[in-house]
Amino acid sequence: MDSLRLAQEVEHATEGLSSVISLEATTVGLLAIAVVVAVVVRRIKFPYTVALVLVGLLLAAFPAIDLNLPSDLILGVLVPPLIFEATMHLPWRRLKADLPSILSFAVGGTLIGTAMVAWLTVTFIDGVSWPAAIAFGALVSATDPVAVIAFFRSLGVSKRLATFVEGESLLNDGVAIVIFNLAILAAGGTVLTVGGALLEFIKVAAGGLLIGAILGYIVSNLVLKNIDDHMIETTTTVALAFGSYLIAEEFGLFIGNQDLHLSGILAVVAAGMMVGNLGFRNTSPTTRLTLENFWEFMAFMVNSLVFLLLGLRINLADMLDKIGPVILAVLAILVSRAVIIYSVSAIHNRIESTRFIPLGFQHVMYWGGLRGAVSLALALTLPAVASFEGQVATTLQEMTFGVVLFTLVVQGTTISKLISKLELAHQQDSVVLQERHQANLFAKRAARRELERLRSEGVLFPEIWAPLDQLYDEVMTDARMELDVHFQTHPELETAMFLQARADAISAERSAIADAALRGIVSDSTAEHLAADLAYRLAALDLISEAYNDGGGTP
Amino acid sequence: MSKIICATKAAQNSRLVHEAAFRLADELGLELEFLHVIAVPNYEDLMEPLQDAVRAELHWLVHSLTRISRQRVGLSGISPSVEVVSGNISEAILRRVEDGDVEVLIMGTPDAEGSQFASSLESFLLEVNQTNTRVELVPDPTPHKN
Repeated sequence: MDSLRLAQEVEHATEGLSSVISLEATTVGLLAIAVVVAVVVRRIKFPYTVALVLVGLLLAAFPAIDLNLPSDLILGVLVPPLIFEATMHLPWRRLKADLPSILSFAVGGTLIGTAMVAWLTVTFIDGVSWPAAIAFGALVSATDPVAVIAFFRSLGVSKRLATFVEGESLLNDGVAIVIFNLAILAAGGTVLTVGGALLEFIKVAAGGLLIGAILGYIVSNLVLKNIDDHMIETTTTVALAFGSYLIAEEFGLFIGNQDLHLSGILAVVAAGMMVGNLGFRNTSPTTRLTLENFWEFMAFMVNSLVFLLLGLRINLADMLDKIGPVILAVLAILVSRAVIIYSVSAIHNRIESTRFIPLGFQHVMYWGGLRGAVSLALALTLPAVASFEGQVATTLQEMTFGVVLFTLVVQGTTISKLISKLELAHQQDSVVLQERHQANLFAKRAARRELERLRSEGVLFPEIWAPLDQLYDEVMTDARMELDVHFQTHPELETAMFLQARADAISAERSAIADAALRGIVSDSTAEHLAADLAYRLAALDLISEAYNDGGGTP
Repeated sequence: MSKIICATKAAQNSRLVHEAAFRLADELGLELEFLHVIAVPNYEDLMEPLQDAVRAELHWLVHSLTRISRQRVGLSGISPSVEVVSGNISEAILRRVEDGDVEVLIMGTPDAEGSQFASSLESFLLEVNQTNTRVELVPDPTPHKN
């Protein structure tokens, strides 16, 4: 008996071990693919996230690769770090400046979008109940900012526009999930009046935000402020990102009401904002640098996995079987998004003319409303909903995959052209021109040095060298003047160049101190003291740059 | 000897103001001081070492950028001083004007729509005029962008 039990335990342990190793091998494989994709897209200048989805689609064609992708894995493990990292970098003062309009897009827009998509689904797809249609409407209303924000950064688009897109996306994820869950409840037979649903919505959303804000405040004010150890502080933020999600989602367990679930996503939003806006101010520059590097890496890694898994999960053959509903879904989200963006903007511009939302911003917000991880995660739960007919759940799932694929591949690859066409990346043009002037000067200087070398080696006669050198001197003087005029036309470039040069110089000083400590020229304690001073200087430059980007004061 | 104070943000569009200040100092033969009021949000709430670092870096920034302007106008004989102070912009400038023997206050037109300083500009100018200090406003040549 004992030996049988032992054999069973060994078999059980071996199974567990092999599943861990299998998961590890899959993760390593996916990361390796992501790295190759990252290297290739850097050369061909193609959107990274879109490339990952396309590679995932290609890999999905191989029957050997069959990934089981539970919804909980995406929502509970992959989404929280992405949201935490994004909100950590969302300055509250920028969000606050446009909060009414961002909330209108995120809350009002999601409600309008859900209602419109649900109505179109019920009207045109046979056998779909209202709760199922509302659940579908909600899950395709959650926009994903990752792909778009990457473009914004590379194109130098206005920070205000980036705040609109990022702020709306982060908040509407939470709102969409709350509506989705309410629809699932209704589908299961729970009777929900409009007033009751609204109250439930407020309770879940506000509760999630409150939990995240409290936990974020505790971490920012107790840990980040009082403990000066970047390892402990970084670990605490990891616990906060996942913990705030878990505590909000399972809040009922703490108060003896297992049915009470608050919004985990909104809890992560609030916690991330607390750390980014309060915690960063309370901690040392060294910790801030560690936190930023750690979360930047985490976001890159998780994003790589999410978009690759997204492509792997979509089966093109199944989607083509449902091509009619898929086209309808794509049209529905395009129409509803247009109604949301342009109507909310029109109302906002009429009420608050001092914070006008330009038409160019509206076009970018419309076309930049891509769908990603949250939509996919919610769609994956549909077949498990007992009250949904199997066929309906599969159809809605394929419709979601179609929407995600369309927005990522079609909108994701054309958004940068739209931004350029609308001249919202004008800052970038001036940067390109500055680079051209600098490259021109660099090239001419090299040519002059070469002529000088040829002369000194006796290859070039002084009679030939002298006029050539003079000519280059004149050309370089002209180039310098052109650069000077360019800087006068775009003074922001000069300031940016100064700040960057100063940051580079401080980094060089830090490296030199570290080197001196390694070589024993200065003691470790002296080096640490000097490095800390320089870290404060770098942090100060960051704050100054932010203040300049926001404008204000006397010019 | 009385002096000129140039209130500067030392950022976008401030070069014209710096250049105008140098020309004016040359023309009137007066000392020139560049005054920068720290515009870093919630500066007072920062940790003390970070406050010191912000002040020091801004000193560097103002010093360097005004040197570029001096070079552009070809007035290397003028050696301006740099002061970096914190607090409310209009109060800080006014305090400086009242403290010193200031003949001219030169500055650009405030550039941010809705900024507190921009909205209180008129009353600020009236208060400066009461100190017998002349105010020169250098207009911003570029259109506002979002």
